[in-house]
Amino acid sequence: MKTLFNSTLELLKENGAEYADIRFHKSDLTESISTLNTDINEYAFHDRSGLGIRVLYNGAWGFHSTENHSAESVKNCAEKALEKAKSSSTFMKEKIQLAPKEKYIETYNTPINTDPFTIPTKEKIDFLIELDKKLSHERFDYWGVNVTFYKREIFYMDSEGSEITKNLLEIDASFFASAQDVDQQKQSRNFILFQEKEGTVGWDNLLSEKQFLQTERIKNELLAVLDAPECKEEICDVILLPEMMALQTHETIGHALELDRILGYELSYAGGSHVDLEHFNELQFGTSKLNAWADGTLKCSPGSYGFDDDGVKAVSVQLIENGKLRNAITSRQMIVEANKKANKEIFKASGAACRAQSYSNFPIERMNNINVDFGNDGSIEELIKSCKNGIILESPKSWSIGSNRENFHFATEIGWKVIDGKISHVVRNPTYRGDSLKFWNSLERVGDESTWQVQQVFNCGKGQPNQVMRLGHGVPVCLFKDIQIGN
Amino acid sequence: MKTVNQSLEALNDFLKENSITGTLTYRSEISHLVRCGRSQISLNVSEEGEKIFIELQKGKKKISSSSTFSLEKIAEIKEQITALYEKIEFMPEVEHLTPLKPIHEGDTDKHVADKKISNIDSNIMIDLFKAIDHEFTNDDVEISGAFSAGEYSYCVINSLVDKCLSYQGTDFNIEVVLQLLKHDKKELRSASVGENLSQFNQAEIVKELRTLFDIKTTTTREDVEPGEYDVVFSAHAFAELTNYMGYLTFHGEAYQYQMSMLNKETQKVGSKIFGENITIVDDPSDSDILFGRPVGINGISRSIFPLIKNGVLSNMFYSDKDTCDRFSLEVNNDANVSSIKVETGIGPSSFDEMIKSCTKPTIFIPYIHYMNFTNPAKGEFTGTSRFGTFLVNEGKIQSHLYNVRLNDSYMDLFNNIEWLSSQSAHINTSDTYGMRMASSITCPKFVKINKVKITGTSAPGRG
Ligand SMILES: [Zn+2]
Repeated sequence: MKTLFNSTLELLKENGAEYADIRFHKSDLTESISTLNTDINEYAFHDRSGLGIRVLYNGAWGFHSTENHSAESVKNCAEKALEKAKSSSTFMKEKIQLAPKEKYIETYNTPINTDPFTIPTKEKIDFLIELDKKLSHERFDYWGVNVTFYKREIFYMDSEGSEITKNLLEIDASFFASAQDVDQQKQSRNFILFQEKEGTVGWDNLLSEKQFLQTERIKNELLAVLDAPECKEEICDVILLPEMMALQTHETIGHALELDRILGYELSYAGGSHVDLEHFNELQFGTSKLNAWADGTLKCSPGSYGFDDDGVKAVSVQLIENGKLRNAITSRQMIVEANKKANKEIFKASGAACRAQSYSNFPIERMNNINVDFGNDGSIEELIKSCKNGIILESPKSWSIGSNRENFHFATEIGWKVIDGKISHVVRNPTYRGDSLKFWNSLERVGDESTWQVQQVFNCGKGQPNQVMRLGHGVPVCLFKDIQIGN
Repeated sequence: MKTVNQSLEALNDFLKENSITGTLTYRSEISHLVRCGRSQISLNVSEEGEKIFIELQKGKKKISSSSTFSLEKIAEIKEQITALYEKIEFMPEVEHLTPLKPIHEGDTDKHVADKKISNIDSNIMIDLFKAIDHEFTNDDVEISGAFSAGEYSYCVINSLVDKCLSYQGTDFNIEVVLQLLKHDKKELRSASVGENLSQFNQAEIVKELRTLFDIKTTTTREDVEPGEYDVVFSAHAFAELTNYMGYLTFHGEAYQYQMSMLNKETQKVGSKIFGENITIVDDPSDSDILFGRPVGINGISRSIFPLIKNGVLSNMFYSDKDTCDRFSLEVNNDANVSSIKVETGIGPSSFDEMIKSCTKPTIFIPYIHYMNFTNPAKGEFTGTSRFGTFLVNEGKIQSHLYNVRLNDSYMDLFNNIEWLSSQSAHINTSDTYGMRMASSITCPKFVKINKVKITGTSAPGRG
């Protein structure tokens, strides 16, 4: 294929392309297993393969993808991409330019001990059914385990001489239990597999006692929710546990700091951002305890992929430094445009965050691992102890965010009321809301390393056609002051 | 389509020859999309794909797989089927699984693809944005939007029949957003959807944008206090409400799992759940709707299917065999290919008449952004208005509000409808996740609902 791709890129250059790249998913496997009430609910195996060609011509993009790998089809695909770029170039006010990058001939492999695709199907199913059985309880109506294994071999080649092979593996795993509460309303508790800071991504990760076997905790929490009083409306401290911290970070830091969104490219669909170019190095995004990163180099996470789809090597970029806004989630194209628009150099190099869901999609700015540094305000216990009147919240139930990411409204599966430094009781149907900037400027305490973990996200949607992206959030437990809850 | 049908039938014969029980489903798409951002073309892409889905059953065991499909790959797919059938042995038995039933047999194939859409020249799509740019060249606006067009098909067969059922159609959907740079970054939007290219009307889109622009540049910004308001929803906003309400009301599977907003004990088919002025139907033969599909991807034959009749729940969709088996029910339709229509009423149908009819303080909401359930069991949701929220009073637009946050329940909303317009509009509801599948809701152009709960606004400091 390499020779064919090489000659295709040459041909595109001869026909006037300023730049072109080919992304070939040599194999793209998905194996999903789900159980429901101790039955197998679904076993499905999916495989796909195809390639996408992106062409820059006269400062405009064109893209076409195909699942046919024949030489004729690849050539045809390239021609269509070029033709589209030519059409696009008839309505461009500023020609697209790409920031410089290094040339790489490299391979990136996700670190794994045991490839789940090498484990016999029966062994996987037996393990998950056993896990499912542990979730049952006489008060529960449904419970189950969902696991999906993803494995991709991607070859990338561009007209600037880079040749990158990526062997990526991810595991999306979760379990849940649900039941009717005292008011005959459905309540559920979900647990999502997270990553250890120094772990691996593999079947072994799933067997870790520390996380996937937390069935007892989830069961007890659900039982407590069923008979708990409703969350009351008040203004109090909020302690966000890792799953909620991940959502909060995702929605109000991550999406708000995508540079294409800031520039207005997502306006018609997802929305804009309350952040403007003049805010960089000026805006106090949060309190001085807030340090956030777009880190593509984290060891184990679906947001770590070695190189982005611009062929730029993964880096770690500090987005927020001691509360001050410093950088954004960026690609080669957008940093050139943003610097030009701002009339100064805000962004020095691409943050390697340009990714496409698959070969049939065009890469755009996507979160990699949007992390918040842990602090030194102690363990969860110490954070609780420091709280006079507050609530601990965990697990997203629903979320809705303003079109410029300026405000949010979140509902969580469970809450624990804290009074005078102690957990008083569990509450049902907790919600909280706020303005994004005001919220991060209410960040008062940041948990220590013991509270920090990498949450995996497999369902981030963005762009048109919508692309679902896999990423991560390394986050500590945090305490926010004076937040509106239960409204 | 004919060759696909033939090869699927050949693969089905292979199942039968090997005494394998199963279902084969083929899906394809050709998609084109032009996106505009910062008043220029930001994306001009196309993709094509074909997939085959294989579901096998052996006694109480089942297994499924999918892969990319092409006519040259038939031998390879046969190997996949054989390998999958061997693997079925490792699957645990599912006690409630019932034997496979034949799919519908009869001449219900429908192939209505408009080849002008299937092979659309991207210049037609780009020209729309050029025309808008030309219209607003002196107005300091940022143009963004997307023009999506394409063809999709599906074809299904199982080992209990000889002939497959198939559908092939096309669709386009367009949305354009203008941000008014000199007017506090106010936004306005125009959207349209259709199934053949003759329904695309460039001049009408430009005209609508101009009308909205003129309104928005002559009204002042204001903020309202949280509270209960009478609200007029546009067809877009009301279709969004109907779509989300539908997830919690019309899906029998969710009802059985008690994940719907209906109480299984007290609210059943036959119960009055909404106000008398609400009637909702799914009828693939209705000429008033878009994308009427007489067969489901699950191989069922579809015909008129009332969902709500004068507020009374008439039917729920059961599309999924697994869930039906679990609850000893029969598959009765396929919600994935439904085209819901909310019947019209006797209310005003033009924008001007609608404004004139609001003699008391009323909020007009043209669009709901980021709706989500806050408590599905109660049908409670939240979302914000977007693209121009107006305060209307004494038959006039009084001011242009900041976006407002709604926190209410579908149960309350659909029981508090004051009127529905006498004319309807088609609204795109396809989500563009996964393979192309057109979807739209047909509903009244405007719907007025009383006592809608507003809990906040996007005015600075009011989140
Ligand atoms: Zn997201």
